[in-house]
Amino acid sequence: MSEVRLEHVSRTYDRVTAVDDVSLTVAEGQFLTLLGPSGCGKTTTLRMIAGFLQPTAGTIYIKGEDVTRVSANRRDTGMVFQTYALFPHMSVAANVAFGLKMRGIRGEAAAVRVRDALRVVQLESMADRLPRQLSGGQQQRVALARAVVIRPQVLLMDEPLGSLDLKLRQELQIQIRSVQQELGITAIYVTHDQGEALSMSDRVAVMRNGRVEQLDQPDRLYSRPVNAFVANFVGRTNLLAVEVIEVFAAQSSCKVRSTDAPDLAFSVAIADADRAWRPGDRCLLGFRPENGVLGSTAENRIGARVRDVRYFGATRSVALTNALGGSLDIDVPSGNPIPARGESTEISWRPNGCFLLPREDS
Amino acid sequence: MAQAGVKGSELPIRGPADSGQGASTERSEPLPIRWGVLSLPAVLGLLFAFGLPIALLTANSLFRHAGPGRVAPTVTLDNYVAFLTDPFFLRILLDTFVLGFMVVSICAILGYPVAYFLARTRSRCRGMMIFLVVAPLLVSAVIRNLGWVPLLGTNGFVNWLLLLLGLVDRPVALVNNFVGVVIGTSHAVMPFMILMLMTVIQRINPEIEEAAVNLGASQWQNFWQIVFPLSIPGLLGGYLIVFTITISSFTTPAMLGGNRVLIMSTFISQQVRFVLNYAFGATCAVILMAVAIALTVVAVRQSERRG
Repeated sequence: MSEVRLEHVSRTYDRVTAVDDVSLTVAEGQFLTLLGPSGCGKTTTLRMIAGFLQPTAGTIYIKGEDVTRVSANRRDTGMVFQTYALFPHMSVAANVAFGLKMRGIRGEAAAVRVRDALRVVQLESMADRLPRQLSGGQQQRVALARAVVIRPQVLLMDEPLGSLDLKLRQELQIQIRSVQQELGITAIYVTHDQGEALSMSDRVAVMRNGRVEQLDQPDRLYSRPVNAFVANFVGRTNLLAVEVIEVFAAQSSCKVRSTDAPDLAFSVAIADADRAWRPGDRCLLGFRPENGVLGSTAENRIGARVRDVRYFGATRSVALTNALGGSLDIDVPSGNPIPARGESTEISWRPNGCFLLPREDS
Repeated sequence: MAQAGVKGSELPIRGPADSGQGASTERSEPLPIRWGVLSLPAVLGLLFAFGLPIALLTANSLFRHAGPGRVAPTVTLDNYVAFLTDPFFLRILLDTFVLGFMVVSICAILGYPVAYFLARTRSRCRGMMIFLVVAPLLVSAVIRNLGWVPLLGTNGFVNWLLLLLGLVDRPVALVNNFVGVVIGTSHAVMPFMILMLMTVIQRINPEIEEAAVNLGASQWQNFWQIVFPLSIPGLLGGYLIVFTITISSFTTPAMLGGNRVLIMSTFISQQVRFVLNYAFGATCAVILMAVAIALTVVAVRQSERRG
């Protein structure tokens, strides 16, 4: 059963299409993230689910009910904003109680639920304070408590951690995820931070120009991106322009060669057969920096010259210029030997550590 | 409502006493001396053009009336006693307050929707609309009031409209009386109320309103429980300006009151220009000033408490 369902939802402003024919479903208790660069339509999509914006086309269902024309205050969603949007003139407890009050829940019943909600976000001791007396992270936890205390059909979060520093953001990612799982609440989360999307979500919808480019589980999104945009937005990817020369055994693997240097051939293991490649297809070969190794130990190889090395603690990121003049990034565990800057070497990777992507222009 | 918020504030972190602007307390470098030196001309100018006349005025109020246009330099509180014990004079003071509160109320009620709209609109014409709001201030008070006379007269547009709509049976007296003064003054000071409210409403994060609606608040509940309490500093500021301008305004009461409306300003003018009782005129002026200062202090205290 799907808790939230969008069918062919579009939103246009004047002549600009902010959201373009988006269809997706979020199952009960699931955590879905809308991920994309700014202006991709993710916030517009969320605001349409909350009811702050009307879609210009399409239908939105919550719990199977068509809510497209239902006003925002009757949709029973709980929203967390990037700016926290706490009521500055009310105490923390009054902020959390507000939604209950609007539902006619008052007195002891409300007090108990407010206390419970504040306990879930570990802010019981702050109940009597005013929002401005709390830190940013605490304020956002109050906002989270305020959104979940009404037990909404769906929890909506619009870049809730966008204005917090990295350390706090990571703590709150864990806390938001655990609160969501503890309460078994359906959640839709908007972010432009791919790390946040991958670590928190059950499923991620990568959006660009108002469209969903790929909707998948985080690990599949990372290991099997459907196009170069997703591959580059979610993690880093080395891309080489290639042409398919041979396909083996019912799309299980194929041989490709560089379109720039036809004598450079690579093998690719195809994990899923949702796209049938044929000899002569021009496409992109992609592999992740951590799947490439220095030296010629793996089957696919290309010559390269070291351009720059950056240190990241657990790994070093080596930037190279490959034999075709393009750029390559390789992550090498710290401690492993690294050739000096300007030195020539070889990069290699395994057939099952890479993937094929369609060309953007095709 | 905000009182409730202040209640639980005996906290170790930050009480309302330091006005809640925590971030700005870090920069406490002393201002360079040259700013003090540069303000000297203004300070001296004010002392000469403002402080000195007020001192003379206050002195006059403490002297005895000694025939038309003269005071005897014997210090006495008789003028104040005379004012504060005579119901006729107290009535004038009360009428002045009533005028002030009526004008404030009208400006607040009629100005609020305009202020809210101007604060939230993203229209390209916003600048133009703000100009239109401010426009009455660009017209001389005399011209503005002259414009009201034909509108409010017995055969004026307003009465014509009221008769047409069947709201009244015969023309209502709207000018040369208290009503005319209220209308004319409200018009004149409306821009101040709108601008004060607009600035404060603009600072209310629109997402706060969305949060309220998201939690189930109707537009009505959103307004009374969220927007209105948060805009009280704007109302206080608007009240302060509108009230003090109104109780000290002279041109409009004189022109639209038709010599029949006796409030402090018109009464002071009578005393000084026609009765030539400078001592009593000065007394009334000092009392009016004291009231205005007291109200200012109260309003400023209130808005400081709200941070």
